[in-house]
Amino acid sequence: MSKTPIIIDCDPGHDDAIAILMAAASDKLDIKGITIVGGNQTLEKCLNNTLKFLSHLDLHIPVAAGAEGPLLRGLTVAPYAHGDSGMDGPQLPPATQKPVEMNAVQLMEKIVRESEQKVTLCPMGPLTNIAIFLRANPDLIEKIDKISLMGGTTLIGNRTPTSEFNIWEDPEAADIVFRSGIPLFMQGLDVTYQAGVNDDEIAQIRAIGNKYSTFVADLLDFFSKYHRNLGRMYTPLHDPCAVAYVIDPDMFTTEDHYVEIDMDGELTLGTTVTHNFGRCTHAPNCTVSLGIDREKFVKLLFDSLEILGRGGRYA
Amino acid sequence: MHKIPVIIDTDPGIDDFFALAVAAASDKLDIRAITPVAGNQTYEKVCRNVENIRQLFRMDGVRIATGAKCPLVSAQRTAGNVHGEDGLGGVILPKAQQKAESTYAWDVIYEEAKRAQGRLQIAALGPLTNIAIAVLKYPDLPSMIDKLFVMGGTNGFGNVSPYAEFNIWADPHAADIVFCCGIKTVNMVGLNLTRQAILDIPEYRRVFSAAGDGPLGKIVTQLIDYLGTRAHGLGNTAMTLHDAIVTAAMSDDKLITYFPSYVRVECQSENAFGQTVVFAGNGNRVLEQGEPNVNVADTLDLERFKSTLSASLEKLKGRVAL
Repeated sequence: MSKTPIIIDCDPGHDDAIAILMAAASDKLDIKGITIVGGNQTLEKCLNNTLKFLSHLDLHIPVAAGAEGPLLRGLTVAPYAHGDSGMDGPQLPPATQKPVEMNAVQLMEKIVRESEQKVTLCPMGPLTNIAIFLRANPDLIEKIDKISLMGGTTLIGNRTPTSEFNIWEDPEAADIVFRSGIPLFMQGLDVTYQAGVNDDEIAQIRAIGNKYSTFVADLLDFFSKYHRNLGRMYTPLHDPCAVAYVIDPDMFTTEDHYVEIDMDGELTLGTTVTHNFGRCTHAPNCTVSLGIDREKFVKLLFDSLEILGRGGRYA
Repeated sequence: MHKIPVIIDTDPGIDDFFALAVAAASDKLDIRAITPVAGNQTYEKVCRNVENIRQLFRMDGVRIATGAKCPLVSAQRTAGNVHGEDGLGGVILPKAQQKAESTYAWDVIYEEAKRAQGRLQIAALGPLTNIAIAVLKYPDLPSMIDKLFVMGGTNGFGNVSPYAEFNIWADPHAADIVFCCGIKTVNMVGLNLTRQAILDIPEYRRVFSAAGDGPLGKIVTQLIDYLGTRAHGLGNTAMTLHDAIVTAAMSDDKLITYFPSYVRVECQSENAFGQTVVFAGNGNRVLEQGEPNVNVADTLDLERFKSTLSASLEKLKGRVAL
C-alpha cells in the first residue's frame, strides 16, 4: 500500500507539535513538508519552535515559512494558551535545522506539482497559507485529494461564544477554503474537546521514557494547566485530530453539512455556520466530525510515541 | 393568593392560540391586556385572530391594544408558510363583536405596569417590537416589570436559518434592545427548550382529547391537523407548541429550569442575522461581555407541560362562546 502524501500547515503550538509527531510515526503517511503560518504566536516564533523540536528529535522534514498574518486582518496571538514563546514548557537547545529557501506557498506548489499521487492537506492554524495556495494555483486544486483541518465548531466557540480561534483569526481565508470544492473534513471543537488526555494519561506518556514522549509530556504539563484552570477534565488535543482523521477516519463519527463562514457579524464573526436546522437547500460541502473513540485516539498517540522511540523515522 | 397581573404580547399563530388557551384557563393569571404584534402574519390578520380568540375564550374585560405593524428597523417577514394565509391554518373562529381599542400597545403596557405596582409579568410570544417601543418610550418601564417571558431565540440551532429563531430574526434590533434594557428577569424560552416538547401527532391528539368533541374539540382538532399536515409536508412527523410552554411557565416555576447568561442578538451578519448569542461557558476572549441579562431556558418538565395543556382545555371546553 502506498503512503498518503500530506502537507502539514501549522503554527506550533503545543498540539501542533504533537500532531506532527503522530503523523511522523504513521506508516500510512508521508509528510512531504511542513508549512508555518502566524497564528498561535507570530510566524517567527512558530517557525523557531518547529525547527527547534524537529532538530531536538532528529526528524528531517522540509519546513517553509508562510504568511505572517491573516489575508485582511491583523494577527492576534494566543499566549494565554501557548505561552509567550508559543510553545512554552519543554526546554530545548537552539535549532540546528533551517527552513527551505522557498516560502510556504512555493513549497506546497513544488510538492503538489511533483507528486504522482494526489496530496492531502492538514491545516492546523489559520487558513491563510492554504487560501493563498488555492487562489495562486487553480490548476493544482484537482491534485489535492482532501483537506482535513483543525478548526471551527458547530455551536460553541473558544474565541468568541460561537467561533473557534483558527477560523476567527482569518475568516476570509477560511471562506476561500470552504468554498473550494475540495473534499473537506472539519475537525472542530465539537470533536476536539472530546479528544483529550487526562492527567493519568499524561503521566503514562512520560513513563514511555523516550525523548519523544518526554517532549510531549513536557508540552502537556504546560498545556494542561490552561485547560485545568477552565475546569476541563481532559486536555484537548485539537490539532492531532486533523492527522488522526487521515490515519483512521473510522475512529470518528461524522455528519455531512453545508458550512459557510461568517465574515460580517459583530458578534458571530468567524463562526462556521453549519446548516444543521432542517431547511438547508445547499448541498453539503463539508464532513463535520462530531464524535471520536477517545480510547482508540489516545492509544494511537501512545503507539506513535513508542514507534518514534524505536528510531528511523524521517532520519 | 393574588393572581399574577399579566400582559400577553402575541401574533396568533397556531401555537399562540394554545398559549392564550392556557392563560385564559389559568386561575393564577389575571390577564390585563393582549397586545398584538405583526409576526407570524401581517398585523391586520393577527389582530383579527386576537379579537376572535378573546371572544371564543370569553376573556371579557381583557383589553386588546393596537400594536406595531412592522419591525423596528429591518424589513417585515412573516411565517405564513407555517401558520397559513390567515395565521390560524384556515380554521374559522366565530367573528368577534368587539374590536381592539385604539390605544397603542406600548401605552397600555406602561399603564398596566403602573397599575400592577411592580408585579406585572409579560409573555412576549412574537417579535419584540411592541416591548422595545415601550421601553424606548418609557425609560422607567423596565424597573416596573417583574418578569418578561420571551418565546424566542435559541441556545443551539435555529428554525429560519442555522442559528436564528423566527421571532428574534423577525425583529433582531427590538430583541437586542429588550434584552439589554434592564428588566430584572428576562426568561428566554428558546428553541433548545421548546424542542424538548416535540410530540408526534397521535400524542397531541391524546393530550388534546381533554377538549372533548364539542366546539372547542373541533377547533383544536382542525388546528392540530393543519400543523400536522404542514409538519408532514416539511418531512417532519412531529411538532411542538412553542408559545404555549411560555404561558404555562408563567404560573408554574417548576416547569422550566434556566441558567443566567449574557445574551446579545446579532444584527449585522448576513448568515447569522437574528442569532441569540449566548455567552455561556468560557469561550469568549474577544467580545465585550456584560453581566448576565437573560435567564436561558434549559430543561423542560414535559409531563408537567402535557398535563397543563390537557387541564387547560378541559377547563375551557364548557366555556367557549360560539
